[in-house]
Amino acid sequence: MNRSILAIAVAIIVIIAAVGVVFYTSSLAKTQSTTTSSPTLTTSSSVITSSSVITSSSLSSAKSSTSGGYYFLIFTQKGLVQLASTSGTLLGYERLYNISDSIPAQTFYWDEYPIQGVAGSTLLIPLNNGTVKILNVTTMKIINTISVGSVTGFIGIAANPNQTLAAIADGPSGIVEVLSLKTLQILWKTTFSTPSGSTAYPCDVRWSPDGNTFAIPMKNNGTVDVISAQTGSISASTIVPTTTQPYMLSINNQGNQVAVELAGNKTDVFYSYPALKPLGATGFNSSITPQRGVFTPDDKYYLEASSSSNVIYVISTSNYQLVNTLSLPPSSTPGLSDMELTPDSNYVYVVQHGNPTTGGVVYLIPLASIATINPSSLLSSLKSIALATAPAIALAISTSSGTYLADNVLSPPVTGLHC
Amino acid sequence: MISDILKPFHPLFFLLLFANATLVLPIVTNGIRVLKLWYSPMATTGQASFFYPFLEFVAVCVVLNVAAIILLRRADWERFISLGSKLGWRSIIRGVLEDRLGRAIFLAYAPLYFVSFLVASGLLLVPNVNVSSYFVPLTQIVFQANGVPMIGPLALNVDFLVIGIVNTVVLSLALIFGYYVNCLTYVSQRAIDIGVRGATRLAATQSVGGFLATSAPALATTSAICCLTPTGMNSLLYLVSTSSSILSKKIVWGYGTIAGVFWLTGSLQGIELFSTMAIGIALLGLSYYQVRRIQRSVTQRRVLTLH
Repeated sequence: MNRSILAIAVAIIVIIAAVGVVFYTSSLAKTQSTTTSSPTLTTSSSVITSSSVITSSSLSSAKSSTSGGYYFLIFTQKGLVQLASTSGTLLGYERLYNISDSIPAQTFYWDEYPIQGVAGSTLLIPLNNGTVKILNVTTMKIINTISVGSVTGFIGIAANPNQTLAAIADGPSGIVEVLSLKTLQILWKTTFSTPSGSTAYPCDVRWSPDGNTFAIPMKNNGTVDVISAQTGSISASTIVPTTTQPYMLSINNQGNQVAVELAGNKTDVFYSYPALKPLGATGFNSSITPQRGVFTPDDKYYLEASSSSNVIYVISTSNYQLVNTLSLPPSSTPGLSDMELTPDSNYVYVVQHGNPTTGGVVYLIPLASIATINPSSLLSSLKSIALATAPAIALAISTSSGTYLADNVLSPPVTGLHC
Repeated sequence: MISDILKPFHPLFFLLLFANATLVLPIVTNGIRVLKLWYSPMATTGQASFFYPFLEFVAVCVVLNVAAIILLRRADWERFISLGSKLGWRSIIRGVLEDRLGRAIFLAYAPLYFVSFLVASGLLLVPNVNVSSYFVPLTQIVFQANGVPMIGPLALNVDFLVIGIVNTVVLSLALIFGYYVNCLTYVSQRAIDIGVRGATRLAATQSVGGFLATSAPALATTSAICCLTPTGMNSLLYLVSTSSSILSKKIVWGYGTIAGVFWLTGSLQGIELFSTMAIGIALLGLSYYQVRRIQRSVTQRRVLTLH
């Protein structure tokens, strides 16, 4: 063979090898950063265990309304919980479980508790592998793990308004179940399927304010269903093309409207509740995927967080037009996950999830003038809780309960926590 | 130097180059896309669970290439494919298929390409090559949910299977022409330097064209993989928008504007999806044109030599 042939041959090998080396190098860098941070966590966890045994007592005496102020319990993707104040101060942490960075399993984002925050002593944490961790909030220990499904996919949990029941929707298995948060007994369990027999993919759940029903988007069935909390029967349903993929939803505070995120065609659609009559729709740029929305306390606006950028859209619920766009500070891993109202209804908080290497941020955005606030005013009025870890969920908890946990249960905050 | 570049390829090396460009590279490219896209927001970590096995696959490809090149360097080549009639596309196809090695190459390449297409298009789920092993069951669920039945790891998407067959036919013809011309020019040059130019260009054009044509399935795999994530779910709409199953469901849809957006984005993605394939097939057409030019060149020189 001549030299030109050899040169081309070498070029092919070099191209293939270069691709491999580039990705190997980047992956190696990630692995190294992970392994160096792990020993710190392991050591700290053992300290927490001993201290919690000494001081744990009933949290019920310390429980109070969040009207006196609130902290956040921030659950990270790989098994930590951190307590943080709204000013961004980290007050303590606990290792609940440990998931390796090298596998895709993680704490999932879709876990809703009522606006007043966590009030009970039992809290459910979803994992994207179909399992649910049951946490004793008093001791900050996982007391049980239940397997709703066994396949990696979307899973959603929501507690009812008085926090006595929790509904779990696991997409890959099609299972929806309601369990008592007091006894942890499953009250009913139903598997939802498409006409062809495959999973209907129920992957998010939201309770109505009266607690009698909840709504679920059936992503693979192309329906949004209103389900009786008592029996599990479908009381109302609406159909959209399955290709539009209804996968998340939110019910307004009055309980007369529901917004559904369609991931397939980047649209929010609004229906009356519980009748599910169409009211309007808002489309987004094709690069934007609506992730999690929440109605403002007065129900005049619907806020929509993007899963692919750090942007929140403000939609008027009178004409379903975009009235404002809120751009949060840029990050290396853009994308928003959880978004809820704070207990005092003055802010909406949103989780910029990041990843375990980059960390993430929980932003508190003032609701006053949300429809008109300009970018500079927004940035100056933002509150943020920066985390070296990757947050998945943030749940409000009263300051008294948080103080009890910080003083008696959690380990002191450690700078630079990863995972 | 220029004359070196214009020298024809060793026919077996041409086969290696063509196989790399059309069988291996689309799978590798697709794997990189899967790795880069990952499954956000389903999971922001865990790339290592896909990356390391995938890297092993790439390493095996590199080792096999190195071994093949070492062997080819030592291989001599004197095989000349004689044609039963005047030089033309029909006689070339017939001549190559009547040649034992030519037939073997064709019979090996066509099914291998089709399998490669299935892998690169995501229709054949191969854990750690075109899908993370963690997400295989979910991928099957998504396919089924979109009206694509599964037989084991194989998704029976008729549209893409047809594309695969068309691709197989086009690329097999490209391989036959390229192989024949390389045999012809290589042996001719060794026998007597008749100075036929364009074989190198032809091989390069065919390789690039082949890769572009096959990169359409790589894009499709992105659709299939991305359907797991909200950001990429829309991509799967393309797969579905061309199937009749949705229409047969007689779904009622009250929002004309939303439906409009849906079809518009679906159409744009369709154009995007097929643009590389169109360019690839155009380049393969160009290579056929070059075959014709070489054919004319050889004929003229033969006439001149005879005179």
